Amino acid sequence: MTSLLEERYRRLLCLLPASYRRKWEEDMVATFMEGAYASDPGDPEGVELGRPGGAEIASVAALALRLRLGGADAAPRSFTLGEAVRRVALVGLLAHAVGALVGAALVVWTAYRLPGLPADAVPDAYAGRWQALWGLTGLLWIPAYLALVHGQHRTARILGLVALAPALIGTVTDVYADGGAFALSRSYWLLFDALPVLALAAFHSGAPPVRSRPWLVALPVGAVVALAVLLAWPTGGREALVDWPGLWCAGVFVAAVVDVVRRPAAPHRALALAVLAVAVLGLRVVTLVDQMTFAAVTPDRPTLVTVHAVEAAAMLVVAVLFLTVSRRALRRLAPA
Amino acid sequence: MADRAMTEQAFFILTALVGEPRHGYGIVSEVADLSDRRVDLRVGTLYGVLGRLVDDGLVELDREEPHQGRLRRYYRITEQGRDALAAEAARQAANARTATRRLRAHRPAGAGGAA
Repeated sequence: MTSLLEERYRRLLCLLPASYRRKWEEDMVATFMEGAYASDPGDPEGVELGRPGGAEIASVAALALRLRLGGADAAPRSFTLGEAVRRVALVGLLAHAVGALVGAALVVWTAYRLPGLPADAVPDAYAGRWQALWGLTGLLWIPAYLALVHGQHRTARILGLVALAPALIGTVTDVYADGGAFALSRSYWLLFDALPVLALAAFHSGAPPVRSRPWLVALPVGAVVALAVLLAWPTGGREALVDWPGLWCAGVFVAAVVDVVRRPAAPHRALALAVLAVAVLGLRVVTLVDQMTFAAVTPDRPTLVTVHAVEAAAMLVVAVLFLTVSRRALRRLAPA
Repeated sequence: MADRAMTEQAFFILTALVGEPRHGYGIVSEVADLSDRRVDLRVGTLYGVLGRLVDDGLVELDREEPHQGRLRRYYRITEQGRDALAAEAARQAANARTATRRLRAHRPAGAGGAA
């Protein structure tokens, strides 16, 4: 008769791909149960009522992650999934690092009263000295990104989590202070910020090295482009048309067009774009809904709604197109 | 495996299989003994490494035996596995010799060695 402990362990093994379980499950269960009985030989009945320990769960979860989001020596489908998630992590951390650089540039611009800054270009968060310092904690995304590009995966994970902490604290305090106004978009922003940090899990020991040069070039180029767009837009209508979700929509749309033109098509690029398009679509929709619900009615609201709706529609098209393409491509690849 | 550095777990698993084939729990126990309990292999970790060693041809299935209602699989090290382990042991020994030489050459004056 199967013990409770064995049942629980087999449930844990469901994290592993089916093909892997077919090959290794019985052996793993036998080894696990033998180890469990050996750990407490005087009380076999007590052992059978137990649960797998935290370290055991972590080891199976890590194995599942490595098998499903494969490295260089994995089966093609697992490798493609792994590459797609790694690309999401890279793009997400790049965007965070670009945002941090732009934020820092705006703070410096304001502090030294440099000319050419539109009145509404500096977010309220940078208005006071402490708020500015708080805003600069976002700079932690830059070393996190650089560590990732240089193959320091563990450092990137730790820095990513540290950089996420101010966003978490800021979201909780903002939602509490505003009595729930904009809570939906603030919470979604937090999840959106956390997405690349979670995706860093795909950078395990088997992950191939990142080609650092293009990603290093992308950081200053991205910062200059984002800053130029934010500053060049005419004051007044700027807020309605150019915000961070809007920049995300533009970035994903341009990347999608480039990918359609570029040959040969790569399934991992298509899947990464699909994931990003879905995430950005959600961001655009929730920010629009919150804007409509809580923001003061202004004369440019119809423009704002139209532009944001167009951006959301563009993301929907990109998401559907690239999900279809990547799904077809994944079906043709050998499973893990 | 030739393209990847051998991990400490893989090193101890291969070492545990030198001399006699072992089943999963046998490997876990032997690795704990060999490493003075420093390397505590969890089952997920063991099979992650073992799977890669089998894929790389360094370890292979020896036999299956029934034991208390379950089937025990025994694994053995291959010739290729012995070569890889010998190469890794030689590399680690060379590293240790280099470090030892360096430490002897730069012993602090108070420790009584030559500067």
